[in-house]
Amino acid sequence: MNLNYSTSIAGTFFPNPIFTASGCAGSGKELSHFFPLTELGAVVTKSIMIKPRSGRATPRMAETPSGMLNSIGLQGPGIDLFLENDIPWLRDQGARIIVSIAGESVDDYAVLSRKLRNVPGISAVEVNISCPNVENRGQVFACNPETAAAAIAAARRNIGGELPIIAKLSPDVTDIVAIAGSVIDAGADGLALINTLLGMVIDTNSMLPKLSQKTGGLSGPAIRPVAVRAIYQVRAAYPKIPIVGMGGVANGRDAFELVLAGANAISIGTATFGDPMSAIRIKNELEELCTARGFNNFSDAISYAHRSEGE
Amino acid sequence: MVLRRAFAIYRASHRSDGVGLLELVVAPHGSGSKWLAAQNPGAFVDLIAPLGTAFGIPTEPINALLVGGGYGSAPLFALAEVLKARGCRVDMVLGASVAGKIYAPLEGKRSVNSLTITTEDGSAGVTGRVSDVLPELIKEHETDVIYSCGPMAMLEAITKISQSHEILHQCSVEESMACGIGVCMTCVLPVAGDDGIIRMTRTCIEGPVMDGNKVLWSRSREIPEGVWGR
Repeated sequence: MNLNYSTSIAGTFFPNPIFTASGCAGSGKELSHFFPLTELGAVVTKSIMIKPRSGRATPRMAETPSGMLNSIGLQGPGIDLFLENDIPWLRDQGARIIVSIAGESVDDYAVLSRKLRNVPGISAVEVNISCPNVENRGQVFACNPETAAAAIAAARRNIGGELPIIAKLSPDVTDIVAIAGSVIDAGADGLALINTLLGMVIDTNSMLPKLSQKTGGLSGPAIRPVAVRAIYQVRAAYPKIPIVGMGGVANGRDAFELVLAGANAISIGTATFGDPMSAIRIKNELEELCTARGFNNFSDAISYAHRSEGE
Repeated sequence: MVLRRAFAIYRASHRSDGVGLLELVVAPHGSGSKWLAAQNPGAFVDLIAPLGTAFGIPTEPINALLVGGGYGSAPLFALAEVLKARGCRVDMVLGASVAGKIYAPLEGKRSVNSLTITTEDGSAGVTGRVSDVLPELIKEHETDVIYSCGPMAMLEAITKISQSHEILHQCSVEESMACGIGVCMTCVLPVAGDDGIIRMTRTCIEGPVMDGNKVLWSRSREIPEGVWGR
C-alpha cells in the first residue's frame, strides 16, 4: 500500500489519523501492554481536572443496545500528579500526546491551561467542555454558545500561541453548528466531535435507575449516526476547521464514514473496552479501505461525501 | 453486546499431552454468559487472560477457611487443591438462597477437610447464611485466613467477621466491568492503600482478589467519606 496516511490538526503533523478517545485509554499505560503507543496517531489522555477526583459511586456503567452508559465522574489524580507521572511516562514511550482538560468554572480552564503551556512533548490540548459549570447552576458549558466560548477563550488566553486547542463538543444541543461557530470565534484551532449523549437505564428488577448518578453518557455504535450527522453539518459550515471525529467507531468502515463526513482524524473509544487492540485493527482497516477506494492521500478522503453527485 | 465479559478462572492446568487448559464455570444468566454457553464445542473464543490479581498462597501450612456464595464458589476448588498441596488445613463453606444454586463438584469436595452448606430456605444444609456459621467454624478450626468469592453483600458480611476475629480475609470481588484491562474506570471500589489513603481502586487489575479488611464496603450510592478526591 502506498497511501500517504498522515494527517494534520491545526498544523500539527500525525503519522496516522487514529487516536484514542479521552477517557477510554487512561494515560496509555494499560494499552501499552497490547501494542506500542507509537502505533497510534496520538494518545488522547483522560480529561484531567485541577484537583484529585474520586469520581462517582458505582454502579458507573450499564450496557445498552449497541452501546453503553457511563457515569465515571472524571476520576483522576489532578493536574499536578498527572504532569509529574503520566506525561513523562508517555514522552518516554515516544507517544504523541493530546492532553484533555476539564473544569468546573471558567477559571479552572485558565489555571489548567497555564499549567500546560510550557510542558514539552504535548501535541495539542483537548478542552472538554461537557462538564457542569458550578458558576451557572451546574449547566454544562458545551450546551450554550456563550459559556462554551468563555471556557475556550480562557484556555486560549492562557495557553500561549503555540499549542493547538481542540474544543470537544456535546451533541446534546439544538444547534451544534452554532456552538462550533462560537468556540471557533473564541480561539479553538480544532473541534472534537462528538462527546457522549446523555441517557438513562432503569433496572426492571430493582425498579430503580441502574447508575448511581441515574444518568450517564451513551457511547458505542448506537451513537455513530449522530456523530456522522454532527461532523457533516459542522464541516459543511466550516470547510477548513480541523475535526477529530469520534462516536461509535468499531471498524475501518465506520472510521471511513466519519472521514467522509469531514473528520481529519478518528478517536477510538468504547471499541477499546470490548477489544484492547481495536485502535490498531481499525487503523489497518481504514488504510486498506482508503486504498481500495482509490485514494493516494488520506487527506483527499476527508470530507469527500460533501462533493455533489457525479463529481 | 459491545463489551467483553469478565470471568473468574475455575482452574488452570496442563493436559497429559502438555496442552494448557483453562477452565471457566459459567452460569448462563446474562446475555454474555448465555452467548458463551451457546458456543459449540471446538469454537474459537477470543480471550485475554489472566488479568488482575490471584489469591495469595501462604508459604507455610496454615488453616484456611474458604467461603463461596452461589456460583461464586467455582474458583475456590482449585484454590483448595493448591492449599492442600501446601499442607494447609482447608475447610469450606458454601452458601446460596436455595440448594440448586450451590456449586460443589464431586472432585472439589475431596480436597477439603470439611464442607458446610448453608441455604436461606433450608433446602440443604444449615438454614441461614454463611455468615451465621462462620464464627463457630473459625473457632473450631482455628482459622488463620479466610478466602472468599461471591456476592458483594456476602463479602461485606464476612469482612465484619474477619475484622472482629482479627484474621486475614482475601476476597474476590465482583463489580460490573466494561473493559477488564484498567482503562474504563467502571469497576472501582474504595480501598485503603499501603499508604493509608483510600482510593477508588480498579477491581479488574488491582483486584479482583483484594484484602477484604482494606475495602470500605458501602452499598449506598455515594462515595464514602474519607475517599481521596471526594
